[in-house]
Amino acid sequence: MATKGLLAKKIGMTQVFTDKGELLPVTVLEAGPCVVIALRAIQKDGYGAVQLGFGEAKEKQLNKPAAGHFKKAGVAAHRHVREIRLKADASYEIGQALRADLFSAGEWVDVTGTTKGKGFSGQHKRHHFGRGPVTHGSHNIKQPGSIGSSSTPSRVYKGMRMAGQLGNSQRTTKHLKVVRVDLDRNLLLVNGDVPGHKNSVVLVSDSTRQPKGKK
Amino acid sequence: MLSLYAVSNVITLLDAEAQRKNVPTLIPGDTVKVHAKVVEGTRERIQIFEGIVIGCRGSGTKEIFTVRRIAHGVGVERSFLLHSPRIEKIDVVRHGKVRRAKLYYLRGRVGKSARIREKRQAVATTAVPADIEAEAGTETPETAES
Repeated sequence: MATKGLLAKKIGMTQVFTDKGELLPVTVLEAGPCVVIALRAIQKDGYGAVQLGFGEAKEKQLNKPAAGHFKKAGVAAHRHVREIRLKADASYEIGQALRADLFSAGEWVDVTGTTKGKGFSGQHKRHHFGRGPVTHGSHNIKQPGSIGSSSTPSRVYKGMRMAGQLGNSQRTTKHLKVVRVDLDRNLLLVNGDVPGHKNSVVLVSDSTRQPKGKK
Repeated sequence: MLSLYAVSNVITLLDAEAQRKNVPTLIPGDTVKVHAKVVEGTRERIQIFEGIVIGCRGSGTKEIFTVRRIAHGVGVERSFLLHSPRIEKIDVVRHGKVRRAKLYYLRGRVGKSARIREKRQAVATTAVPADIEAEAGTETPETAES
């Protein structure tokens, strides 16, 4: 479980040089600003979490329960609201704003987002099956092949890899290094790619997979 | 907040920051002196690699040029990232008159036939990037070499 995190917008990818002269592929994330809307405590709620809001929302876009929720916290209305489960009851205050300086360069983070939707995809794209021969009268170009034996067991085993929805699901890319923190523009530059399309909202939290010898 | 920046805007800005000002425009056929930083143990020194630019590829931050020289009778080609902080400076010694974008035909040639005629009207320029800082990197392999 994470000890800290914030919501961010994926801006896109580019490449930057390190001091050593290596050219690194980075994902640019606009880190908040996120506002703490509510706190969850273990004694009271049974779990520890912090509820964050990200992105401005107009009053007319809200229904009354949501508007009341923001009013109770005394914060502006936000478009994206999400709770982040935290390991310990960290000292957050309602109304507090989280920005890129929550993280520092060199830190390891996990990024959770919704992957790009690929629709209903065949076995080849979804599970990397091979294809049959395309010539010599073949009718087996995009077929899945055998999905099991005959009279025993007379059924298809559960979990057999077949065609279906691909993408548009929540995924976490773990153990990404923060290359740079740009406080002026409130940006996080993370080494490597993160799930989702441009402008999608992702959750950045400190990595559960920390380097060895460091707890 | 969400629409604080246009998407392309930030990326273009970061790209522009990653690129060095004052790098020369290299054209295939140019003879160049590349002052590259080399790390030996803990010391860092500058090594000059002089040869002919036989090709450029990529654009923006990732622009790469390949330099070919004959060292001790053996052809050596080395690729550099144009905007790399590992390059101290690039001197363009002379411009060559060539009719190709990639001078791979030089690989099969030695001596007289590997010469390139000089383009007369252009004046040789020296470009010293203004943004050099002496970084004390400890160890790094050069981005690419052959």
